[in-house]
This record gives sequence, C-alpha cells and structure tokens, in this order.
Amino acid sequence: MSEPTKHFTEEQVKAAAASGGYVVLTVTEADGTVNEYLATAAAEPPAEKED
Amino acid sequence: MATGISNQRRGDALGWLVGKTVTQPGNVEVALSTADPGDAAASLAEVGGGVGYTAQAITASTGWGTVSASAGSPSTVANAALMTFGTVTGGGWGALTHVGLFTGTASRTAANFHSRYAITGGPITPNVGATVSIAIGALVLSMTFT
Repeated sequence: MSEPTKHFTEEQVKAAAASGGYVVLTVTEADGTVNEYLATAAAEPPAEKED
Repeated sequence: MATGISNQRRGDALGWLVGKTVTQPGNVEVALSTADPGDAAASLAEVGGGVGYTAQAITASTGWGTVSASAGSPSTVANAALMTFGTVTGGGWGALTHVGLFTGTASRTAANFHSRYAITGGPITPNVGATVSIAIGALVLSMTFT
C-alpha cells in the first residue's frame, strides 16, 4: 500500500475541527493507491438580505 | 455554532441543556450520499445496494473515543474503530458529495438525522475495485459556543 495522497491541507482540518467537525474518507484503489478526502460540516446558506 | 448538525439534533441539544426530556440517540450509522441531504435528510441519495456498499455503525458504548472539553478549544469526539464501507462493485457508487450520520439503525428519517459533512473540492467517484473507509479518529464531531 502506498503513502496516502491528501487532497486537503492541515489548515483545512483545523478549521473544520473548530466549526462542526469533519470526516476524512480514505479511498484505496485496487492497485494500492490511497487517496484521502476531507468532508466538513456543511455550512448553512447565508440569510437573504432584505432590501 | 455547530454547522452540519441536523434540525432535530440542534433542538435536542438545546432541550437537553435546559432540562427537557430528550431521547438519547444511541448508536450512529454513517452513510455516503451522492447529494446534499439538507438539514432534514430530505434529499439524501445514499449509495444503493448491490454495489458492495454497506453503511457503517458506530456503537454508542464502545465506538467513540473520549469527549474532550477544555477552555479555548472546541469540544470534540472521534470514532474509535475503523469503518469500511466496502469495495466498489457493479455499476459503482456514483459521485459522492456528502457523508451523513443517522441515529438508530437503517432508518433515514429526519427524526433520525444527526449531521452531514460535505466533501471539499467536489465529488469523488471511487473506481470499481476501490475500498472506501474511515480510519480511527478520522470522523470528528465538534461543538463550539462563541
């Protein structure tokens, strides 16, 4: 198995940890290639501005 | 603010804080979705059957690490066991966009919806033959009050 390729930065992880949490998904291909992806707590849409 | 937490669980947390009777969720189930479930899981598009996918359970009593709580830092808790959703087969799992947490077992109702996490940088499409997992400590729930 190869070293994982992280598709995110440590700064993104720290920011996510401070705002709802996160999940790191690990995808291991059949050839042993490993990729890691960050999923973060989905931000709520901003409130619409009133005129 | 705790973004990502469902409508149901936000209400439960506030209710608990003020002494209301709140049913504790129990075990948590982790699901992968090809669409944003929204705040009430109404638009969840979980990976279907027959393609090697199984949602993963986190047992309440043993599946979580210690809850941290210290001044100046968010309170956090993380999974204590490896979760493997399976190896992609057949027609594949599609383009994954979100991870959703549900309480209870396989029920995917708004009442059982816990929280959602959006995959940064766009959807990912695991190839047939790939295995998708979450390592120990790689699912972190946090709560911050500012």
